[in-house]
Amino acid sequence: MKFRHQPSVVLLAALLFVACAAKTKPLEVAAQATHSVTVMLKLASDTLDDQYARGGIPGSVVNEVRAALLPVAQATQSAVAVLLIWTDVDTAPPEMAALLTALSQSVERIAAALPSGTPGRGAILAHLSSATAVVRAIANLFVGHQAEAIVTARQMLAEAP
Amino acid sequence: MKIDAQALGQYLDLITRIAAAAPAVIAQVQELFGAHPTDIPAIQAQARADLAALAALIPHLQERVPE
Repeated sequence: MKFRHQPSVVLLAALLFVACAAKTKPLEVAAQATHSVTVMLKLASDTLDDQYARGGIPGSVVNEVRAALLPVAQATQSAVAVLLIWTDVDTAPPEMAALLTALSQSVERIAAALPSGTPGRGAILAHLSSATAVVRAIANLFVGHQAEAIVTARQMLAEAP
Repeated sequence: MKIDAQALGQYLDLITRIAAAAPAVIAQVQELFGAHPTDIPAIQAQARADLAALAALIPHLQERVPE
């Protein structure tokens, strides 16, 4: 991209860069992340129920896995509820960070609860890992855009005559 | 007040350049970042659907099966 290096134009472009980068639909990406987590949680729960019904997973393990999934579901509920009333479209609500933490802890707890070879173990962990990756990737993407905008703005200002 | 015609001309030229460049700059920024106004109603509709799904899932996760 080439911009006119008139100082005021460069400054205008730099300000626009920062403003637009800060409003790269974080609310939309946060909502998409919580939606993905909701879907993944349901899939993980359904897989667990299915394997329990088939006799592949003992009741004690089912209860432990459900207990590990519950904090994630509650953290997701909090994040979604906040998104409904979140008015600061420039930033993602802090509940998103709490959700990421809950997801990471849940994956570790379930990996420990389900011995290798347990039917459905791979699918359940894959659903949760996907949800974790989605939330983490969106968080990184948003941060990356901001940093990119600031770097670009500085470069443009540095190039100003 | 004495007005410097040359300075005034440069100032007007600068204003013209900024006005001409602004739409192009905005378009380029929007293209680069995919920026457009946040669709709040769509977000809220999806969020309400997710809340309903979670409201059904949480009691299920709280249930205990025989050990």
